[in-house]
Amino acid sequence: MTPESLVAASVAYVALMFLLAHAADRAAAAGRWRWMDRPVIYTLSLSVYCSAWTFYGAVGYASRSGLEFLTIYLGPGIVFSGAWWGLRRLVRVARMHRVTSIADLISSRFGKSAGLAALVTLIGVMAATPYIALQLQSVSMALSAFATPEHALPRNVSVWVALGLAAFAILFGTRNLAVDERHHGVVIAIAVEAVVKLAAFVAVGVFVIWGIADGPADVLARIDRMSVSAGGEGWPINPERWFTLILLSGAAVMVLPRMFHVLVVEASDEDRLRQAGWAFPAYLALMSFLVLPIAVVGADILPKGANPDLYVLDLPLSQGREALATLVFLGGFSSAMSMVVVSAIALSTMMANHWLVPLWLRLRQAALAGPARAPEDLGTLMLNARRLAILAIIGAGWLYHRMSGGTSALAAMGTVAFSGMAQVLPALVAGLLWRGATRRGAIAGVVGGTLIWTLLVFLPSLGLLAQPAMPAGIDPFAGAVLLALAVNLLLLVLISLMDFPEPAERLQSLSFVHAVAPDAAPGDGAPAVQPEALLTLAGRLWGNDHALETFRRAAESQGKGGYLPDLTPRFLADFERLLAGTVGAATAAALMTRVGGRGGVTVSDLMEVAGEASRAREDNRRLENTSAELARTAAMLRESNEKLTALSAQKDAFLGQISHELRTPMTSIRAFSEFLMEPDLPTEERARFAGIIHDEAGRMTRLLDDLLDLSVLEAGKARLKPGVFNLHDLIERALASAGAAASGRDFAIRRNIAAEHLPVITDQDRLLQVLINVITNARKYCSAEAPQIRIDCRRSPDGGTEIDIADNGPGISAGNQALIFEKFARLNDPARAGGAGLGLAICKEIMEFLGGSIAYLPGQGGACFRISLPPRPARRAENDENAAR
Amino acid sequence: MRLRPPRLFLGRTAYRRRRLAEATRLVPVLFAALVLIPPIWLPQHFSYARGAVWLAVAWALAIAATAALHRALGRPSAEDEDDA
Repeated sequence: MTPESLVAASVAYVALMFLLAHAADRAAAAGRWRWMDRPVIYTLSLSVYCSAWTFYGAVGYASRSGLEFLTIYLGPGIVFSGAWWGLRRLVRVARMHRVTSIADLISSRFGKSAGLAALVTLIGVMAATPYIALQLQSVSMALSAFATPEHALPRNVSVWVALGLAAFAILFGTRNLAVDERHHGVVIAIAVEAVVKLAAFVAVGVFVIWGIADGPADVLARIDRMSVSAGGEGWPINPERWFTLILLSGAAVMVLPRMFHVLVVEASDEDRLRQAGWAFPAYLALMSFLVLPIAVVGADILPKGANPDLYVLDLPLSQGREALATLVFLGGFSSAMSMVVVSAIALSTMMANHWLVPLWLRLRQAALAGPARAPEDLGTLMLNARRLAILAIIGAGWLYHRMSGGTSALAAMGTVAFSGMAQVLPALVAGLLWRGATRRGAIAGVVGGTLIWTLLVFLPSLGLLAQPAMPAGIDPFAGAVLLALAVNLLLLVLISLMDFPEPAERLQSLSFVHAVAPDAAPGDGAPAVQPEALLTLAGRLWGNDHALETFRRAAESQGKGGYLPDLTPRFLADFERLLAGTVGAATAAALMTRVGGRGGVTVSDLMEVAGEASRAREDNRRLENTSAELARTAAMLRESNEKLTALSAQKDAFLGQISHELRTPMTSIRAFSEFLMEPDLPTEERARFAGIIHDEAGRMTRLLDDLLDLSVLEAGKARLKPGVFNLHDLIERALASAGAAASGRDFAIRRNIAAEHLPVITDQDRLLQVLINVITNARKYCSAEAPQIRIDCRRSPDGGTEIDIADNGPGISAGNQALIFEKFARLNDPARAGGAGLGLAICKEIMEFLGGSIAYLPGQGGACFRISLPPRPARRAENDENAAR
Repeated sequence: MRLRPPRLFLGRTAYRRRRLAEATRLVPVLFAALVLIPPIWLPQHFSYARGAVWLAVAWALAIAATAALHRALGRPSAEDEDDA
């Protein structure tokens, strides 16, 4: 193969990839992208980590420094073995915030800081420069391996390679302004290239292990021989480099712009890490363990002057395997191409979003919300900015390649890039795990670390500064990197600890650290912006159709027709996040401020958030209280309903009873008055019958008196005649009249005479009525063998008087206790009661009238009533009395 | 802010998932220990074929453990989303 035919093959290969990517993009546009969205495609696209450095440089690295080359793959291996916890969280948070790049993530976490985004972009560009140079150098080196004296390599081949790759990146990365910054076509092309480079590397590895060497055992023996061979001086492991490089590569797999792009931005969900978590390390392990045989066999059989970076090509060529060598070249070209294209896309997005657009916004103070004048197409502006950025990035890589002389070992250039980008790691990790990390801390850390890296690593690698002088015994590279990272972390932590972050930043930190979806920012209550202005802005970025569709869906979700949703805080927050998916969080926030006049968040707004949460809790508690109260009320209602039903039955029974009570004397009065009409009635008979009529009329009068008394008391028309009396006298009189009225049974009366001598201020007649009624009841209903009545008197703590009257009878059952004070209630058989069942109802009314109460005391070994008197009668009654006077 | 109050106790399936998720955190720690400590401690023993075999075996174990755990974890169920 001549270099010319290889170039032709490469061009054909690029064209093939182009067609593939184009077809995939078209399928995605038509909505048929499910098959591209598989975890296996995602895993293969991650292999963009294996650039030309892995393909060529790793073999050179291994033959110079032995197992140390493995550190570059062990770091990602460790990170991915913890993918479920770490990377999944990173992907979830980043997707939640529609992050477009590593710079966007850092800036978004630290309060959407435009400055931080620009700074991280700067580091990304600086670190990518040697990395892209590495790819260009590897392709031109690989071409030179095929060069023979008669087929000299064209001059400036690296320029053409750079231009070709830039064209490919521009064609794919900037075809349109994706809303979610995903590039289906590019991802498919990368996945296919991943297969190509793996196939090529496996082919050459198998050829070397079994074609040149005698299998794995022989390879191991050759490895052991390196300890004594001339080329093996670099092989013993250098502990500090071992540690530092594993740390760097572990960081690189997350923070390198291209890795962040395929790992986070192109991921449609975090679940695919379940497969990628083991499949990607497996891919890396396969690639990296094939490096060793190629390195040791190459060192054994190739001439001493051969460039170890080209062993992978030189070995098949030395054995006359042209076809294999061509496959290897295409594999190497694949790895270089995918790295440059993805890097260019990722970095150009960062540069455009974080450098060019903010600059443009600053330069143009023109109102963005005005009617869309045709030439002012923001989308086109963004795309052109990205195209320019791609050219600049690849151009810078080419420049680095020229300045470094195109002779450095590939791995050395790669580690420069890794250590530069790793300066973002402390801010990233702290930002995701520690709410206290602040913007100022992050900026200080990144600036400090990057300055040290620039002075001790980056500029020396270009030959612009001398290698730093480290204390003897310390590896200059490992020492410089660890120093930079330590200073970075220290500044971040110290300044964060002393800082008080802005409210917007605190909102973001909460959202990032706890992986909770960002809520609408507070303080957006009454936006001055019109929905039309936002629609115009969106139309300029995404094109009118897409913007209209987005707004229509938002309006629909609010239950509105048309294309103009209400500008609720939720919609504004979502809209800003959609914008962020295109232009980055900082720029989106700036645009929203510009268009909508959205003010910043203040500390009191933040407290408001907490206030809203606690208010919600408060409301909740109140609801619970209300419902408990409702339940209580319902229970009470049910109770009173039951009581009412029982009373209604009682009342019916009582009406029958009272009719009966009135009818019985009425009947006898009528009968005996008829007898009296008999003319020949003897005088004594006449007198007897008149006496009966008199008694029966008296019974009726008592009944009617009771009814009248009750109605007077209930209507509050009774008159109070208060006075001071000795309670003992009242009880004596009550006992006397009750005893006189009652049946002839002998009751033992147990009293504490001494305690009865209490002066009370009350209406004597009324109280007496109550006492007599209660004592009479006791006499009437107590069915004990040796009936007794117990009377206790005492002063209550509030100065009132309590009189307990108890008997030793059966008492009143719990079910009836609620009824006894009701009118018409009569519990026992009516024959024994002898009254109309109004006694206790009257007592209750009287006690209320006197300002006291009468209550049934359960559990006293019989029926027990407590009569409570207030220290003096209620004022209302006195007033009534005064008014009556 | 939608901070859900954490549930105090879980059913058997969710409980197993939590423990599996914790096991996935252990894998990188163990793997890092295997990869870092022996070569740093005894560089002369791990710089050649023995080191290569050691690292290959360790890595293969880590990949197998990750694959097994991720397989066992399965798709996250909606109710078990609050990790940590």
